[in-house]
Amino acid sequence: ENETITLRSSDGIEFHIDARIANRYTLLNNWNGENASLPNVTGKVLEKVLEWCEHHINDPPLNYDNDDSRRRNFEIDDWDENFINCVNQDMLFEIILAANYLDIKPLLDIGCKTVANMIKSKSLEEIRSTFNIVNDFTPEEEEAIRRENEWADDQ
Amino acid sequence: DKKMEKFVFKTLSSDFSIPSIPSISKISLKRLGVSKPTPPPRKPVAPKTFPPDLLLRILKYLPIASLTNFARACRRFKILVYDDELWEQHLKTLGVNKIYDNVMDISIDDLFINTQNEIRGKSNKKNNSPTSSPVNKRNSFTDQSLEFDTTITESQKKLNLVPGLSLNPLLRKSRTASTGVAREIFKKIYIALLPYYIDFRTKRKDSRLFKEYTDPSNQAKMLARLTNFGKLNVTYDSDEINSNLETIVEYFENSALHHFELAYDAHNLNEMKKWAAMLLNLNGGITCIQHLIEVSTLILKIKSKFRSIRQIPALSNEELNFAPMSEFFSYVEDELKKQAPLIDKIFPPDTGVFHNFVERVFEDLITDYISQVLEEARNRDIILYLKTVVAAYNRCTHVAEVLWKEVEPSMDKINAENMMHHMFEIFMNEYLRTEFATVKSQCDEQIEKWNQKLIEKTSERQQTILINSNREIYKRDYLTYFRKILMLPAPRSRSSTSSMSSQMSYHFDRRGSTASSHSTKSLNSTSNTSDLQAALLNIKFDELQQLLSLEMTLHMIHANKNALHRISVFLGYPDKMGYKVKDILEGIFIVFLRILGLKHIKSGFDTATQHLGEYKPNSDSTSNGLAPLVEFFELIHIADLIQQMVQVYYEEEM
Repeated sequence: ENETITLRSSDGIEFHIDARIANRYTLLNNWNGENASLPNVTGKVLEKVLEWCEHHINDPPLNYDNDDSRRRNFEIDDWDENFINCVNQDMLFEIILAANYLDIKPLLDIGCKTVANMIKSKSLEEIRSTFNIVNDFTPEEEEAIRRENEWADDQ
Repeated sequence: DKKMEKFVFKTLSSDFSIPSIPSISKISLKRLGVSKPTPPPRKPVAPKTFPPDLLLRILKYLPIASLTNFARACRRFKILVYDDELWEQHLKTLGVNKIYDNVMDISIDDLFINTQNEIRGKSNKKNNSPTSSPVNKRNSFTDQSLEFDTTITESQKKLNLVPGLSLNPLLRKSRTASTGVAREIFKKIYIALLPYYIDFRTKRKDSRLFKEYTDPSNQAKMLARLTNFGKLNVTYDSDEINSNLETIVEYFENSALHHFELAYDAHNLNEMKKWAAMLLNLNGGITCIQHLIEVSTLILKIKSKFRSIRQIPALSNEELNFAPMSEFFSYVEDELKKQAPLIDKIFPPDTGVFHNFVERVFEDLITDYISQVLEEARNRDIILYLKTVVAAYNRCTHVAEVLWKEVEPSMDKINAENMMHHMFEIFMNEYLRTEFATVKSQCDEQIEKWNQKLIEKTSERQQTILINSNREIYKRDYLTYFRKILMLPAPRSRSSTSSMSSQMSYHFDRRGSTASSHSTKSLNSTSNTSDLQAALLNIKFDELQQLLSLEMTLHMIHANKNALHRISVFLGYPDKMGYKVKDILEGIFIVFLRILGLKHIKSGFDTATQHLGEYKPNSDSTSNGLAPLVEFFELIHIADLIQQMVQVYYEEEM
């Protein structure tokens, strides 16, 4: 009885999803029919994103006008935590990009929170190595920034 | 040897490269425990951008203290950490909605001004930041390279405000419109609040907050600020601190509420004012309002009739008795009228407490009552349920009217009505669904009944044929009376509808085909419109209805009309629900046409054509040979009449 719509990933894999999912996320809806292919999302990533959508199909609609309500729900629920912890870092970033692209805000938030949790207690060098960042500061500049931000030290 | 795939944020330095969009190139190699001797060549993956707004989104969830290291990682990250958008959002969470340019001259208390009076996000989130326009502009990041050309000169001087930032325009991208003001304000507040906040790591009631602030009202103010502060996830251990803080706030709230209750009981206005102000500082005074509600409810309960109020409008003398419901609502209205001046005295103006109070009354008291009543009505009878919804809605409309007319100080009209509509909305979906389903099932039921009758009747077929000249007159007469009956006053009351249908059924019964006990009963109840009825009696009507039924059409129109009248009460609904009401209203009319057309008229004609097809002129000489053909012509006339009835109905109602 349930209607389905078809989405095609950038590498040509087709997904038939419950139309209710597409209805929740208006952007997904726009990709139905002839425009079914998503140029920016690979099949592997889309599969994960749709897995998440499938699980949250019956969630009450969220009010995203209110930033505060989003912040208050800082905790990620068990299923989501498990979901997001089961993907590697590469996939995590891919999911965030896809969620951003497809405008699936709750998933985007979960992804961003996870990244924030990941890096919040890392040292400078750890952050650089985790993200493979090339340091483009001179030691003096770097020290200046540290001093400038001393006020934020919470100890 | 972490088995981690790495993201490379290739931060292109300022010396070469146009905008330094980070390209995330995957090292697409999964090292399954085996470390390779040489690093694999970086696979040139199609450059993906991790747009700044996504990075900012991540930063918004980082503890403030963690931002320092993030900023020190590279220039690109630093720009993001210093971005106004981040700090403006943090300030909003703290409850600071106004951003001043002259940060240094303003006291912490002044920064928080305007925020204490705002309750539960009802505030208008107006952002007076001078940078609000660039913020909007920054929402689209798809094409950053095009954007910064236009803003170069404008933001050149602002650039200096971000220390250590290269002046190379290629580095700035669109982010450098940041003025840094929001960050400065935040810094000021952070420095002021942090010592108190982290003090709750180990201390509770002996915290320095309570030592340095002795006035309860100020204590409440600080606690409220710290609670918001905690929402920022300030420190690594902020979860713990937050829960400590929560305990304290709860304790504080309870004791303040206790004092408020005592003052309320003693009718001590000044004391009430004092504690209410404190609770208002703490969390918008929600608990205070809750208490007032409880008191009001209690009064309702104490009034002995409250128990009987809960009873369902009873059916008495064919009339729905909504008196208990009226009683309930007038108590509510009385309470509103009584509490309004009191709230006005206790709470400072413009705090919206009365608004909140009304909202609670709607949500807790009225919603609760209506749902109980409706549930019971539903268990008894669907039509009763439908009528009760309408009655409840009318009473609620009256409450809204009292709010903006009689209550002192009165509420804004639109405001009051919106609140009422918002409250009632939870009943609407079910109501509309039921109304629609009922119309449908009633129509189906009529068809079913008719078909049943048809089968029973086939044996005693005694058909008289109208003479051609009479036919037109008769049809015209019939329509005239139909119109009159349709336009009878007070269509919503039970008596008129019943008299209407009984008139009609009487009229039909008189035609002799299906005399029943029902007709004698309805004879008695229709004396009020006797002249009309008498006129109807004079119409000669023959048994034409072998296949199509005027009577049934009439019944269907009645059911339909009643539903439309009920539902049209809700036409004033604003927004989405208003459209939905209109949709259902249309739907009800259409479903009636569909059932009448497809299930009745079409099947009637189908049978007739079938009869025609089967007819063999010579086969049966004893019966009237012309019958099937005549039958068909009669059918067309009846169908025409039905069509005209629908036409009349449509014109009268729409």
